[in-house]
Amino acid sequence: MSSVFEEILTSTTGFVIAMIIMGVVIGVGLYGYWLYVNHATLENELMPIAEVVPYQGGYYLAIVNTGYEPFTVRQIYLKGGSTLSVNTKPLTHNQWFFEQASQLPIAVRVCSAIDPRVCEIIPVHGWSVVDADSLLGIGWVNMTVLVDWWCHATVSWAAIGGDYGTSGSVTVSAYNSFGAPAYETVSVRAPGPLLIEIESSNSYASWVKVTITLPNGQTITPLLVYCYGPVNGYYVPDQCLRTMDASETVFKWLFIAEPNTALFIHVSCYVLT
Amino acid sequence: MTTKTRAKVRNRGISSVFTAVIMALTIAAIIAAIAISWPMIKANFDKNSWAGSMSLYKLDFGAKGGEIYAYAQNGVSAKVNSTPGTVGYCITYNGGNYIYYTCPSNTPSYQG
Repeated sequence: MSSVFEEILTSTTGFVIAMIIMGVVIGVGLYGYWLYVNHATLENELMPIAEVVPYQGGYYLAIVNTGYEPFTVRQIYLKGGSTLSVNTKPLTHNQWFFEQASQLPIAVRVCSAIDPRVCEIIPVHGWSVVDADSLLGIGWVNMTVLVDWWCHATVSWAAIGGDYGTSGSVTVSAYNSFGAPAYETVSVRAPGPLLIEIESSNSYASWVKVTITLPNGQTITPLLVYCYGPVNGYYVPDQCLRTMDASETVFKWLFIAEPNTALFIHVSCYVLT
Repeated sequence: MTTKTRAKVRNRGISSVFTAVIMALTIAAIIAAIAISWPMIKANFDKNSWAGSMSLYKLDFGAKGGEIYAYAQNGVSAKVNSTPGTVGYCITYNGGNYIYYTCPSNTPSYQG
């Protein structure tokens, strides 16, 4: 028996058997490797991008295929631990899939449309914010208007360099304030530079003086100062004067303020009693 | 020739062919393995370069005539609306005070 077995192993038949065994082993090994390579190639060719932004109290999830291998979205993993199961149509190159979720999506599972066994779990990219006002050049102009006793002022503003409908005014009066000054604070959301006009019509004062101060102590020189009335007024650099006996004289100052500034406007007047 | 001598010669012949066949099979297997591996190597290289380009993909913003525009790569741009929209591979919308956007270069949401 053993000699027959030995004869088979050492003879040509044995050689053929050995070759068949080797061929099968190498063949099966290569086939297995080929299957693995196909899997790995399909996995590497999956190029999904998942992104999320907060939206309407929940989250807006977007998934795009940036590659050329089509894939389907299978599951969305949420921060609370729950899972949303979806089964989309295959997304081809540059096609998007959108979904709204109440909890933050943190990962997504996508599977190849060519071989559904090839799947990948990818993280969801988060978001950033940009201040819209700063992009548009919008800033705040904060004004504090202080008027002394017997004085009165109307401060009005309008946006220049673009019609964005920004305009308004505020009036402060201390006619009957028994010695106390009056003041108002106003904040204007400015889409660009503001043209600001300070008007102080006065029947009592013989001169009105306006000083406009920035927080750093610098004063702004008005672009224009008007003084007019029944009897013409005139002005010296920072104040309007008028001749006596006029019933009312209009005093006006014009200047331009850039967004993101704070202004202190002080209106003082001299009344002959 | 005696039977013994003939058997010896025959055995030596088989072992030479055997060696040749093993070598041929080995070479064939190596060539096959390389040929099979090539698509995987290429796909791996592709994915790495893709990941590198995606980690740099971002949005820039600008304003024109009171409207905000988003600029992605390769000259792709769009107006930013109040509902989420795509600009290249990014998503953005105007939430009023803030512009929200997400791009492939943003860090994962679980880190935020």
